[in-house]
Amino acid sequence: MKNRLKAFTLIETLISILLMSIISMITLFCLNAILKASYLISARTSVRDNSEFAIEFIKRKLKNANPHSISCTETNNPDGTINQRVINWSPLIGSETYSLYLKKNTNNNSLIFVENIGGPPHEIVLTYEDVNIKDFDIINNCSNITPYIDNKGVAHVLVEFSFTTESVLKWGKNKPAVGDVKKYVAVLVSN
Amino acid sequence: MKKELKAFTLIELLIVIVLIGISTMLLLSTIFKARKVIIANQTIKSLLLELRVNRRQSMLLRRSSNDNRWVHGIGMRITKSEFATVRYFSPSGGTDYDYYKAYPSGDINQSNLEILGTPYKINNVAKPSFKLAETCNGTLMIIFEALKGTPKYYCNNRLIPSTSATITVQNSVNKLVVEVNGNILLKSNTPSRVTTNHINTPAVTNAAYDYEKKIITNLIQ
Repeated sequence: MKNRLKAFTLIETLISILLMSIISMITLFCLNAILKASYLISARTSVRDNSEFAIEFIKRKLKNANPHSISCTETNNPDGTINQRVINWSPLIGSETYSLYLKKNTNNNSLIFVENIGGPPHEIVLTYEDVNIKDFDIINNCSNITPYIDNKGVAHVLVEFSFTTESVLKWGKNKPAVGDVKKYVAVLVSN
Repeated sequence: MKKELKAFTLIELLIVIVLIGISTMLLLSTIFKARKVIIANQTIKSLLLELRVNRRQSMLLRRSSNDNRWVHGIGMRITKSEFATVRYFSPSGGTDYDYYKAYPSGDINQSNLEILGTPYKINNVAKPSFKLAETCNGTLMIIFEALKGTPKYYCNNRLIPSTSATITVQNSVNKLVVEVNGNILLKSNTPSRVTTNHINTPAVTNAAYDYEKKIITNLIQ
């Protein structure tokens, strides 16, 4: 008795190969998407984490300020554009002074807080090198940061500023994974 | 007619066993390599996160003359087998409304240190090595000064006049570095493989800001 061999036909084999290719491609695509999502989430977390801490830290210091001591200064570039904006203040008790300004480094921009408690002014780096601070802006201009006295004789100063951040983690052609995230801060200081 | 049974010969069987053995060895070696990479990555990320948390904790310390202990700073004690958060305090406490208890300039007295929480055990495949101005072969301590967040470095409780410290978590497969100075930074040699197009997140209106602005406007009025 002659044994008869049974096997897939050419068409069946080709269909099997095609199906296996499609399944492999879908799997690869899903795994790649998970990796990309994880990368993007890391970048977003860094930006949010750094910004939120800086905001809370500044708010905490500003809330303790003497409203009459708050001042805002601007320095201009030769072409008239604003080079640097600084908010200065002193606390209600004590003689120390604080300043908030954006310091531009060669490689990255960090949000720097400066305190002067006797001796040379001390710089505190508020944002780590996971994020760049692209822009720091005083809302409604420096000149509007002036005390307002209400009918009970209480002084109030509304300090509003914003800063724009982007992640250092890159996404594609040397562009930030998360870019142009603008954070607004409003602090009411009263005595 | 007698039906003949067909089966593998001994040689064929041995060849198959050898091939399966080789494949298994290759697979296991890849898995162990990946395990080492993951352990080193996880250790360095935990270390980085803890250092940043410690620095922020020290920056947010409040001044109070009611506290029994004034805290000079919060930081981390790192050995080859574990790292732990430590609080460096002054037992005498505060006596007046001075801004903060001045940071002592000398070495650390062990009795003024307090370990906070549970130490993080470093797996034996990811042992740290330290690079400082002086090589530290014992316990490295990084304390962030209260309110300022400036790091101070100690080796075996002795103050090191250094402006930065590098902690390397290293095994036979990979090497990752945390650099501590005013700005704690993770340096990784792992190349980025993400090559898709740029995603630009548009400027967003901060809902919290709008809410605060509303409250502030009501307060002033």
